[in-house]
Amino acid sequence: MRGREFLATADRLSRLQDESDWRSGISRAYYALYLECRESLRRWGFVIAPRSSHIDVSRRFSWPKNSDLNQIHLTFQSLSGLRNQADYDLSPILFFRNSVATINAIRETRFALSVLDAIEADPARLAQAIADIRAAFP
Amino acid sequence: MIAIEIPVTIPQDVNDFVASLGQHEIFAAILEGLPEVFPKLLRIECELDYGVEEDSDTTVVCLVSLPDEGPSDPTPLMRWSKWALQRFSGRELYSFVVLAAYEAQ
Repeated sequence: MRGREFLATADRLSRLQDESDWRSGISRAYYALYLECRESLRRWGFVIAPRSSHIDVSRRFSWPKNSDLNQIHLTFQSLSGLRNQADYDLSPILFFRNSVATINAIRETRFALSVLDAIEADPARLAQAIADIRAAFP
Repeated sequence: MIAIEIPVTIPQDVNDFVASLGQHEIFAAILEGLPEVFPKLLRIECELDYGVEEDSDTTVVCLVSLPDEGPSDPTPLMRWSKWALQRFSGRELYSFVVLAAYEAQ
C-alpha cells in the first residue's frame, strides 16, 4: 500500500462525531504525508534510518534551499505538532472541539502531496530537488 | 514546558520572552508579521520545549484568528506558509511548528 491511502481513513474519521475520531484523523493525515515523503526520499536514493526517521525526513525537506521541498516541510512540521497534541495531550484543545482542524489537515496534506507529485512528474524539478538535498547534506 | 499567550499588540514583557529565545532570531519577525497575514488575529500562544520530536527544542506557535476568508479559500496554515516562505528559508523555519486555527465568530 501507499502512505497516502491513510488519507481516505482520515477523511472517514473526519466525518464521524467524536473528538477521538477527529484526533485520530489528524494522526492518519500526518502519517500519510510522512510515509509518502519518506518513500520519495528512498526512491530518490537517500538512506533513511528506521529510527529517528521522522527527523531525518523533516530535515531533508526543510534544510535545502528549495521552495518545493520547503513548502512540503511546513505542512509536515505543522501536522507533526498537531499530531503530537492529538495523540498525547488529552486536555481540552481548540483544534479538537470540532472536525475543522482535521478537515484542514486533510486539505493541507493533499496540497503537500500534489507538490510532491509535481516534483516527481517533472525530471528537471526532481533533479533540482535531489541536488539541493545533496548540497544540504554533503 | 513554558506556555505564554501573546496579545496581538506585543508588549514589552513579550519582547523579553522573545529575547530569551536567543537562538531563534526570526521569532520576533514572525510574531510582528502575523497581523499582516491574519488581519483578524485574536491571539498567539507559544510553547517552548514542547518536544514535537525527541531531542528537539522546537517552539510551537499557535495562531488563533477569526475567519475572514470564504469557505473555498486556503486554510490558515496555507496562508501562513505562503507568507512565511516568501520571507524566510526552510532552514530558518525548521525550529518552529506553527499551528493555525480559526475560532468561531
